[in-house]
Amino acid sequence: MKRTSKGIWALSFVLVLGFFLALFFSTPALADNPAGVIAYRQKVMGAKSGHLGAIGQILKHGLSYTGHIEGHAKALVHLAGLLEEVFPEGTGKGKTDALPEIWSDRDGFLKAARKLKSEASNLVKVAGSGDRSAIGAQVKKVGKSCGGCHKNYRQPKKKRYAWKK
Amino acid sequence: MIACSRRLLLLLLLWAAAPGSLLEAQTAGATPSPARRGEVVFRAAGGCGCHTDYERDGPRLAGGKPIKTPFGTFYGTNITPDPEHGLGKWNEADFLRAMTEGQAPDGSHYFPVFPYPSFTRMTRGDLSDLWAYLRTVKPVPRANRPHDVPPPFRWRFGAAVWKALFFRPGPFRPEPGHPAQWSRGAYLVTAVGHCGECHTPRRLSGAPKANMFLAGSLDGPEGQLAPNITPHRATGIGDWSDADLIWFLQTGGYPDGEQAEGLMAEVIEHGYGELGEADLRAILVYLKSLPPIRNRLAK
Repeated sequence: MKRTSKGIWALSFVLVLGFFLALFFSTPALADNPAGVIAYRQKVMGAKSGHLGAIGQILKHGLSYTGHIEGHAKALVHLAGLLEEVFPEGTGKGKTDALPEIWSDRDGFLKAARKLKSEASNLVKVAGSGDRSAIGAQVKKVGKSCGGCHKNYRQPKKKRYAWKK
Repeated sequence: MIACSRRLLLLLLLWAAAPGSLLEAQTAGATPSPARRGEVVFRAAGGCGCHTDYERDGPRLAGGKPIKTPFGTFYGTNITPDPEHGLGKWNEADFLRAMTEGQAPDGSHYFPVFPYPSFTRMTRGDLSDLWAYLRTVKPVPRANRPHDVPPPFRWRFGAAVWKALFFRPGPFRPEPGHPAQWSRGAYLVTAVGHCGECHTPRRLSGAPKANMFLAGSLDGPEGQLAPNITPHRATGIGDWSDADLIWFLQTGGYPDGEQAEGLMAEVIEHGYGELGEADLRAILVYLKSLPPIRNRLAK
């Protein structure tokens, strides 16, 4: 064909534009169901206590696995980084122990999440030293940042649905 | 041959001397100073965590910390040696009377939110050393905050009545037949560490329920619950190993990776976490010997 019609070009333009618009606007976050987000982030929280608890077991029993601590600490850094993403708007109701302050005091919440990430990063650094006493001191700081966030942003035990004793 | 009565006297003297021997010196080498010994007592008392407003970065031991109770919110007082707002004008006898009898130098009675019902059991030697330590703390001229407690609970007269009904002063007496380590643990838990003040549930009158000792309370000092720390497996700490218990008191880390929060985290960080392992072992030996009490606090 010597000459393509203007109509075909117009159609092509619309199709390509439509394709990119669809891509742009179909961000997964808008489509997530809140119950799923809640269930997922509870697993993330559980993973954090799993890694921190594992480090605690190594130290309290004087186990020979101090070489594993760095890996657990790196996992904590990674998981702490996820915190900023897994509390989107609309996920404060239901089977969750998250307090409304996570959204009404977003800055404070983010500060606490970043504090955990920073203390966990410091733990990664000191883990390589093999110095149990220095590692223990930094583990205490990591623990303090867990408690510091929970105090303000998680339901107290009295009202917590995830506490069984 | 020593006459029967003299033998008895000797036994009595040894027994009376025993509370002094409960004071294990945590420092090796030369005899530590009273203030140095007093610092150990201070740590065993939870670093007097009710007297520092940690949350708002308040100056050390200068008061202002809110302590929520069902009767209202009390504010911990300034116990630095400041002469105007703290204990600067007190002498040792004043301090002893406050701690063992719940009475201020001006004769008024303290509300039992100040845990003198536990501190009354402390040895005179420990109290004297603790006083020596408190004198070394930096004085802070910070005024005490008035308690936020409605009448009639804020009437001092009420504290006098409460004491008459429920308070029995008197030092800890080690029970014969128990090893020294157990007695040390019993002393640390029931007197200095005053664990029962938070962890024992109370009646409407505010008196602790004696048959629920350490079985947990929904009305802890921050309006949050204080868990059951009897060795009950399902609802207490019966499923914790010795290493778990010692680690928790040193770091605030639970066996499952959870972490202590709030006041408990503070008294661990500034107090119990600094205790020597011998004292922590004594505490756990005593706790594990207690009757396990089923008391589920979860909702």
